[in-house]
Amino acid sequence: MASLKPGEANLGTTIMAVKFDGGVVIGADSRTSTGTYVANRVTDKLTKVHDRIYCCRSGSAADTQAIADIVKYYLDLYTAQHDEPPTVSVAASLFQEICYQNKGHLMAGIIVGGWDEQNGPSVYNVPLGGSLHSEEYAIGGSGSTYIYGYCDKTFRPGMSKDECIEFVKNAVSLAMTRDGSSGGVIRTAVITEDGVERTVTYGDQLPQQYLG
Amino acid sequence: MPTSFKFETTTAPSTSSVLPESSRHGVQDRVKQGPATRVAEELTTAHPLEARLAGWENSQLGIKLHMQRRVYGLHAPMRTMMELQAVGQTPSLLNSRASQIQRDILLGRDETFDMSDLYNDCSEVELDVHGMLAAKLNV
Repeated sequence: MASLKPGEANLGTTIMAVKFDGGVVIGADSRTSTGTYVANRVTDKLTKVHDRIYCCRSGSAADTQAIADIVKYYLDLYTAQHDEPPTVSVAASLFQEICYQNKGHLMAGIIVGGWDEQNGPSVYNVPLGGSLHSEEYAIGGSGSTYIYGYCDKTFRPGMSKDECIEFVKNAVSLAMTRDGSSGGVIRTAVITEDGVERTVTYGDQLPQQYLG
Repeated sequence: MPTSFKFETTTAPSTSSVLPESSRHGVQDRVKQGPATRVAEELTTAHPLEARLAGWENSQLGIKLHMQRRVYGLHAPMRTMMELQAVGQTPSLLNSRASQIQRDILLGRDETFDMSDLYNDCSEVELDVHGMLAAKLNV
C-alpha cells in the first residue's frame, strides 16, 4: 500500500457518517496539511458525488479528489442512462472498485453516505485497502483512532436526527483536540429525501470538553 | 481499450537507443536527427513520470471509454472511437490546434481553454517533410 509521496498534501483527518431513520449525518474536520504546515484550515472534505450521495475524504488530498471526480462523472452518466438517480450502494461499489484496483498507488480512505429511494439511508466505509463495509455508523481518518471508544459507548441504533448531529459534533471535536492532523472547523451535512443541509461549526461553538 | 479502472496500465518507461536494431540503416540519420552531439541527450534515462505524462491523454480517454462500456453497453466505446477516427487524425502540413475543433467537440474540450490554446505547443511532433515526400514519391 502506498504512503504519501514527498510533498503530497495530506488529508489526515477525522471523518464520520451516522445513519438515522430518514437520512444520514456526515461530518468532518477541515484541516489539510503538507508536513507540519497547514495548507488549508477550512477544507471541505464532504464532497458531493450526486444529489443525495456525499463522500467524506481522508488520506491523500490529490488521490481522493481524483477518485471523487471519476465517481461523479460515472454517476452522471448513470443518471443519464437509467433516467433515475443511482443508489448509494452503486456509488460505494464504484469507490471500492477504484480503490482496490489501484491499491498500490492510492492512499484514500472514503466514507460514502447518502439516501436513495430503494434502500433509504445508507453508510458505507471504504478504508485504505479497498474493502467495502456497510455500517450503521462509520468513522475514518487519522483522528478516528482516538474516538473509537467514545463512539462505541455513545452510539445506539434508533437515534433521532438531532441526537446524531450532536453525536457527530462531539466525536469530531474530541478527535480534533487529540489528533495533530485534524483541526479547524467542523463541517456537517444532513442528507435526507428532501435535500441536503450543510452547516459549519466554528471554533467558539465547539462542544465543551476537558482540555487538560 | 482498458478493461478496468486501473489508472496505470503501462509498466517500464522506454529508453532511447541508437543501436542498429532501432534505426533502418544502423547508423545515425544526419538529415533527420542532426549531428552526432545529440547522442548524449538521447541516452539519458527519463524521469519515471515522463512516460506517464506522455500517455496521459490516452489513459484518461481509456478510463472514459471503460465507463461508457459499463454504463451504456458494449457498443458505446466503439462508437466514440469510430467518431474520433472519422474526424480525422491524418498528419498534414495544414493541421493546427485551431483546426482540430471537431476532435475537441467530441472529446468535450471545446469549451475549455488551457495553456496550449494560448501558447504555441512546442511538443507537437515536428513534421517530417523529407519523410513524407520520400514516401509519397517512392524514393
